[in-house]
Amino acid sequence: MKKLLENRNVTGWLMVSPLAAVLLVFLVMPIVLIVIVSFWRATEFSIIPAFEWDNYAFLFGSPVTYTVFLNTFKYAFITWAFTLVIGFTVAYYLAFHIRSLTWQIALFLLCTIPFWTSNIIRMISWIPFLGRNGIANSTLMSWGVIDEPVEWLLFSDFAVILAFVHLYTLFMVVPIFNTMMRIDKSLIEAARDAGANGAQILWNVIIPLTKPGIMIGTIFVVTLVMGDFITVRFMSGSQSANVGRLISNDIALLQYPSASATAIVLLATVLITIGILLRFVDIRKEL
Amino acid sequence: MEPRPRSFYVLSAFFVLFVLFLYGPTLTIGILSFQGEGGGLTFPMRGVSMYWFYDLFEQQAVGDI
Repeated sequence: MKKLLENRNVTGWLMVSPLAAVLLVFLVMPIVLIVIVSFWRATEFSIIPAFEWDNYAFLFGSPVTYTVFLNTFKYAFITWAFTLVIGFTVAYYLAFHIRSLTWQIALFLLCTIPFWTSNIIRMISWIPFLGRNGIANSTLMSWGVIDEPVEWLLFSDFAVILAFVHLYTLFMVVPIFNTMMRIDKSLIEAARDAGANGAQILWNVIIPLTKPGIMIGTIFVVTLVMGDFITVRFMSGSQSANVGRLISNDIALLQYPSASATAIVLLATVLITIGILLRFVDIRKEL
Repeated sequence: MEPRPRSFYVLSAFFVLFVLFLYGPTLTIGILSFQGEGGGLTFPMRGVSMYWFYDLFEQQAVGDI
């Protein structure tokens, strides 16, 4: 036994096995089950184990699917653009303009405190803010900017994007900030000594070096937005849909095979998107 | 220490706005939790009370049997 444990090959496998077991049971197994169920046959009142492509045929044959997938990409793209600009600016400020580490940590923590409450609470808290007689409308009216309450503030795509940006900007700030903190300050000094101005340093030194952080943040935001359904439901007042809502509607109607097929297609779409994104930047260098 | 560039103040203002953006909605919810009995999740507030905090510890329709 002792001799067996001294074999480095055996100990290596033993050390890997706990994580492999956890991943197998909690990640691979559920996905395999979803794949299996996606081929089952469903009628209005029963689900029958089978192997047929009906669920996929129905999914790809319906124009709703394409609209909803397009909508999902639209949300993901717009949210990504906003979170990137806001997240990059905040991370840049924290990493390069705040000079003491104590203040950096303090301000960073200040940004994370709202995340101690649940997603849904933070999302719902926009409702009194944006409603027809909400704070935004009454403030704008008292300033005389508008005469009548603006209707599109709440229960619209605007509200959905606003909630997404509010919920997920920090997922962009954290990885970008992390990468920026690892940039060697002497590189920036060297650039300044070589005569670069602030914008040139930002464009030619800082942005190329923070690309891995930007990419990690992008993956977080895109996967979170594409998998979300509750934000879209609450903030659009059930007037817009993304793929997550398609799946949740199927589940509510007990159409598990159809929901599984949609989930598999969504999973494939997200994986392809991430695969394309990873072509641009090698994040392994950073990890 | 070298003097702060002008961009520092612009970015500081941006950061303050960002923090307000993060905290604003949660703070409005905090204020609204002191609504009077007739109020909901909307402004203007119908009176100020601790009613909803008492209500929280009463028997609930959901979750309590």
